[in-house]
Amino acid sequence: MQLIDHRLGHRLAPALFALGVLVTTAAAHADTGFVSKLQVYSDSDRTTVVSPMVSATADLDPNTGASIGYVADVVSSASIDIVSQASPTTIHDTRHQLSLGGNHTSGDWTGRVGYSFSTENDYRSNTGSLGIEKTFDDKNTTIGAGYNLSLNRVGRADDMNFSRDLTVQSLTFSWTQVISPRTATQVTYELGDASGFQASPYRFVPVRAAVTDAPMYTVAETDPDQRYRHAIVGAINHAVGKHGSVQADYRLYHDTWGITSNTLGLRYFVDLSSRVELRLRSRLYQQNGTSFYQSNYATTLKYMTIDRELSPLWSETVGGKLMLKFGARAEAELKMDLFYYHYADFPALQSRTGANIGLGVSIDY
Amino acid sequence: MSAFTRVAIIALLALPATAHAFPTGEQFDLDPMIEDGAGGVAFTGAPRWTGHTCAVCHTGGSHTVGLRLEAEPTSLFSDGWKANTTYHLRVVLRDAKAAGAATALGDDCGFAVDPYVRCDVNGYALEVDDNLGRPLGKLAALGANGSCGSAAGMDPDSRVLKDGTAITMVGTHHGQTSWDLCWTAPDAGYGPMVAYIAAVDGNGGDGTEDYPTDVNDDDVAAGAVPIVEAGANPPVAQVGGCGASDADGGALVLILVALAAWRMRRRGLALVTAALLAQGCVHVRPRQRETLAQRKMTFAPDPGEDELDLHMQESREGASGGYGSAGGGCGCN
Ligand code: HEC
Repeated sequence: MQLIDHRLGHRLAPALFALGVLVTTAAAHADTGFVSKLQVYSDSDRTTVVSPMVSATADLDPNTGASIGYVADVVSSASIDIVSQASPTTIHDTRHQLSLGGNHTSGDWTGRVGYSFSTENDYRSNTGSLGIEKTFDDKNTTIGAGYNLSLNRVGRADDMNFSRDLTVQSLTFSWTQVISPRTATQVTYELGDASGFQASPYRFVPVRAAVTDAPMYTVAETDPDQRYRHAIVGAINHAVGKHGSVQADYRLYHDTWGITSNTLGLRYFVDLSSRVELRLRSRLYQQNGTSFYQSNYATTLKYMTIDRELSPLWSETVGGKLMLKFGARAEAELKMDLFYYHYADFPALQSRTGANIGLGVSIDY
Repeated sequence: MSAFTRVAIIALLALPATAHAFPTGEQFDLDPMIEDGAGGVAFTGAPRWTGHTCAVCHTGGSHTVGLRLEAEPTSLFSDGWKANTTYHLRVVLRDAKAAGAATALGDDCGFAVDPYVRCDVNGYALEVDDNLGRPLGKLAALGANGSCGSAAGMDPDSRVLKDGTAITMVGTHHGQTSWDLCWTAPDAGYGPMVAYIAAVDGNGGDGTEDYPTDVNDDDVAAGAVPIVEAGANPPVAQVGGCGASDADGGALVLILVALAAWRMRRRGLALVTAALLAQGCVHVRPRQRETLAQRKMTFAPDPGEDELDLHMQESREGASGGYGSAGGGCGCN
């Protein structure tokens, strides 16, 4: 037949071809790599957090990957949060977290498992996660679901007798859709449930006629034991020109403690050259306070908190990140985010500003 | 060859290039948006395509195929390339599952026969770049009399991209596992070069006339073959190659190059296609996904950073969830 004749015709001169270059297959995967980052956070509320992180991923076989990671937060803080505690002082604490993960792909399906253990002075947490994902329509559509369970033991430094439990679970559903060769969208819904001790074991709420008065007495912070959270995120990524992209996302959040919040994220990525990529980003966040939050408590109530996280607030973060490629495999990054938090109804602090600076390297095999 | 087969082949070649015709090398030049092409991206694995090979889209193979590059004169590999010399190159797909069963059928497959028989379509792309990643030299299909430099033949294996920077298969033969091409070296002085090659061991579509070709269960082999400049000074260090190393200038040896056998598995066509189309979603062909595959177009381009950010945000804000995991722990600071 034509084809065979055709091939044989060329094989008449095989000697001339002699030995060329023999090329064999070998594994080379984008998923085998190493990442290391260091972030330094510092804010006007006298808090500094240094976070080193390392992680490695490897392909065990072409369909199975594993990862291991370590991250620490080294905190030193003399925040007003701490100053309002029973024995104000500058605290130093370190959180260590070790995580392991695995994923396996079979056909259109990908499954993931993860486990992480985190420990600090007075807090211990074990978290397990499961996830499954399926692609449809030539990978144009991906539907995923995940479940997370975190078992926490809350202690109090220097108080052997204090021990409380907190169980946090979440269910996530996501739908990722390619809508054009230059645009992709994603919708994620997460239902969270926290059950157990959610207050701070260190915070005591002053009871007084007015904020300016001396406290009559203080009571331990109390939050409801149950909290259901709903978060829905819509995100879109769109390519801009040959070398850029914009990403936008919006989250609407509501929980059973009465917080409703809006988050708007915008990112612009652009290749400044074949080796240098720039990312600019902005994040705007706004929330109201929980139903039981008060800037001052004149009498004892069932739930009482002086947690500014539960008070009405908004924040804005802007930042830039530069990613520099070295050869085909290595990349270094340098980033800086500046942020501003404004508290509308928190007498002890109206605002805080700060910066988050990061360095990182990554290597891909 | 029977007269009948010849007629059948001509008929095939004359078929209009619809999206469901043979995937031809021509598709690498076509506009991605309108014509389902690759917009001039050759997916050879060269640095200018940020290492992307056919494996961006062709997935699910068994990772058994290999590649061999042959050259005549063979001095291309032993001494290096000589200025303005034309080399006859041959890309050979080794251990293609295609070869046995499919070649026996000749080109009696696809639309040429009734009832329909699945075609086994393989393909390749090649380019030769210098250390700076610039494609150099001149590529051409093999001439009519089987040698380089002669007039183009009736039935070439290879087709040069419009901009001349890469060469791909023509894609008209069933079970084809080797492709001939010609490369004329540029003027002297460009130093060491790398031939970037990627090939697909395809298996046809789903066996029906509706999907005569697809990207599922296709094996991909890719690699970079270093070629020094004959008589040149020791080369400058290689940049951007994928597994390429500098060849020893004088050695008359086989150069073994580790190859990227990329793999991600994917199969099946969507059951929900119709539903999504009804919703106004456009079906984006894998070939059009070069842009979407970039990191800057993914939803979590830097999971490590996300985890640090989320952990920080969760300890400063009342809301959480919807953006992935923030890791464990109190987040009390
Ligand atoms: C951006 C996605 C994409 C890339 C990259 C790509 N292809 Fe394809 N290829 C396709 C699609 C989609 C088809 C299915 C039919 C069509 O569109 O004609 C296909 C079909 C084929 C087929 C037929 C295979 C079969 O089993 O039916 C061959 C052979 C082929 N391509 C070769 C190549 C080669 C060689 C490369 C790399 C140099 C490559 N392709 C890179 C998208 C791609």
